[in-house]
Amino acid sequence: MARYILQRVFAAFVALWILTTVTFVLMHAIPGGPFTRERNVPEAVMRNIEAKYHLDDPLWQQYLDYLGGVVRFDLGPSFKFQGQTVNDFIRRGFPVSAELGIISIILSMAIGIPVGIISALRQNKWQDNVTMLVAIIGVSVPSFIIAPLLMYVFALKLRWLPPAMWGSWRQVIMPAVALALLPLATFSRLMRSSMLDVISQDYIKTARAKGLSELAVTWRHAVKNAVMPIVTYLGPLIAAILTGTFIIEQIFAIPGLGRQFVWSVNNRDYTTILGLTIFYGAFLLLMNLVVDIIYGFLDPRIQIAGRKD
Amino acid sequence: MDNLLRVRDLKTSFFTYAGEVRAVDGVNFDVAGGEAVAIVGESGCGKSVTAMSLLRLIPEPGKVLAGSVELAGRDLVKLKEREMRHVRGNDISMVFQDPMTSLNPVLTIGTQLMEAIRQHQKVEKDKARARAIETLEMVKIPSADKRLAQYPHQLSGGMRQRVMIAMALSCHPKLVICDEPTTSLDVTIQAQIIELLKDLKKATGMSIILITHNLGVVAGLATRVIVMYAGKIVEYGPVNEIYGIPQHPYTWGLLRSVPRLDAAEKRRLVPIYGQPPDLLKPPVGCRFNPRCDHAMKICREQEPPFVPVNGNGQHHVACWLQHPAAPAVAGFKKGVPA
Ligand SMILES: Nc1ncnc2c1ncn2[C@@H]1O[C@H](COP(=O)(O)OP(=O)(O)O)[C@@H](O)[C@H]1O
Ligand SMILES: [Mg+2]
Repeated sequence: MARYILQRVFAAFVALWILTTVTFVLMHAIPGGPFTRERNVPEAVMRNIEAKYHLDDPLWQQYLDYLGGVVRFDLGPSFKFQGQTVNDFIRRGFPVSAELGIISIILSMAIGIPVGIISALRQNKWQDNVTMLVAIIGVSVPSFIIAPLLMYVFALKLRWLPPAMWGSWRQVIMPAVALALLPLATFSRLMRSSMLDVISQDYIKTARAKGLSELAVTWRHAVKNAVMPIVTYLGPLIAAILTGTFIIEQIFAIPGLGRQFVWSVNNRDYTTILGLTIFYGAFLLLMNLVVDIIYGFLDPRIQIAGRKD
Repeated sequence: MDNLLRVRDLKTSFFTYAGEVRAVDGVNFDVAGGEAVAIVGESGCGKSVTAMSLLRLIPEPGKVLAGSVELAGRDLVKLKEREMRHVRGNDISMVFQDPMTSLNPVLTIGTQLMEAIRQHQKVEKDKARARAIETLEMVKIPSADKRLAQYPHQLSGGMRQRVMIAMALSCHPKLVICDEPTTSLDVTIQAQIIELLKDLKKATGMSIILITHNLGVVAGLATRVIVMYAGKIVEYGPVNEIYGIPQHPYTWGLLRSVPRLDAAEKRRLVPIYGQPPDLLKPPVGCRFNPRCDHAMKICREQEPPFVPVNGNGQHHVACWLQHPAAPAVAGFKKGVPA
């Protein structure tokens, strides 16, 4: 087990190094620097600034410096925000994005998975048809439509909830719901098809032939097998949602990582773009690793090297 | 011998989009206490549906339409679902065809064995555990107590089928239905499993329904054979008569097409020509007539009645060749008419 994890961690570091390199090269291949402005800056001032940020060093030197920083979890200073580092942005934005993300994921799982199970058990009955229709809407209507819609109804018309910003629990509700809708719909569809698949398996027939109740058949025999594909989907989902979402954070004016990223792109804040990309990549790799390990525990057929029984 | 199981006029259909599939169409048979009866026929003849009808586990869109299934005098068709659950695994249990897929891959052997025991006998966990080990020893699985913590994928196909049999036996059922228990196993393992079933039958006094499409595996275990074709029984009788004086052309075909474990000399295997009929629209008259070498005009028009083959009243066949006016068929030993 330890050996397996070590191998995976090593592979993750290699992937992260490749990601860093590619992003670094791409950033430098884009024409126009961070200090390029319409307004002409005097030659001397420009050189001073470049010297301060080591932009006058040869590219390989800059690359090695940067890599050295990444290894020490130091993603460097922001080009655009005086006295701020990329680490500061993450320290401020990530908890906000993560809080919103965790609430959304819990919401989407708590509703999506049971709905999928019920749908499968009532296959082609009205319960199934209704939920699958709603799920299709959930999957196909983008959040930039859902979010303003929610805002219009619950904030402007009904005046039940504050329209935007961050701080109180009442401000969490709308963005969390808007963010949860897509994964919720995906969870219910995944769970439904996975359950349908499992229910037609031979071992379910065996369980019924033993005289078990439908509840025992569903819970002990079907659900545990059916959640496997869900776990696979969970890794990338957690990484994507917890690191902030551009659209929802933008619409609800939430000071998370997603909004920070959009701001950095608009302002050509190269180090921040680079740093946030690497942070996202690292987080994604970590989540996939965690999911793989959980999967290994859930499914005894997966032979993790070193596991003996 | 008293009859443990009495099946009368059992009819099970699947209501598909294309129409009604009459998978089991008026089946009658008995199983005596301590007896093993074989149901044979090509695949798609309705053997499994018959078995699942006895347990009332027909999946949608199927339905048991008519008939009675009396187990020790109690009609299972009339039981409430809750009462039926107490029959499944307790009075009648089942061993399925494919041991690779019939055990739950994410639960241990112990969990799967013990849940059957604890479902029907309200016993403590350690009692159930002891019983689980006992049944594993009955089916001759070595180091039984260590197996409880193992998962199905850690066992071979033959071992898994033994686990399935142990599970079926765990609540001392009166009847065990084995649906093609050896079909997906190696030939040597097949013989071992049949041998095991024979021993267990002797040791426990249980009855067995052995479903197979291979007449070869029947001889060692069953005392009577039921031949099914297209949802109906076409011939039934004692095993030696089915082998010795088979009466139905379909039974001849089955015997010619299947290698026998006990065959003394090597015989040439001849497959039965053609396919079993579509049960959405079975042929008029005798259902076997389109594939029968001896089909006569009447075979295409009227369904043949069951007639006794022997004076002993044990062997019956539904075939027009039994009619006194039917021409003689070369090489065919007609049973002694009653
Ligand atoms: N779930 C189902 N839906 C529709 N038809 C079915 C279903 N299960 C079985 N059948 C029909 O019942 C017939 C008998 O099947 P089965 O009893 O499984 O055959 P076998 O003799 O090989 O065990 C098949 O020909 C098939 O058309
Ligand atoms: Mg079958």
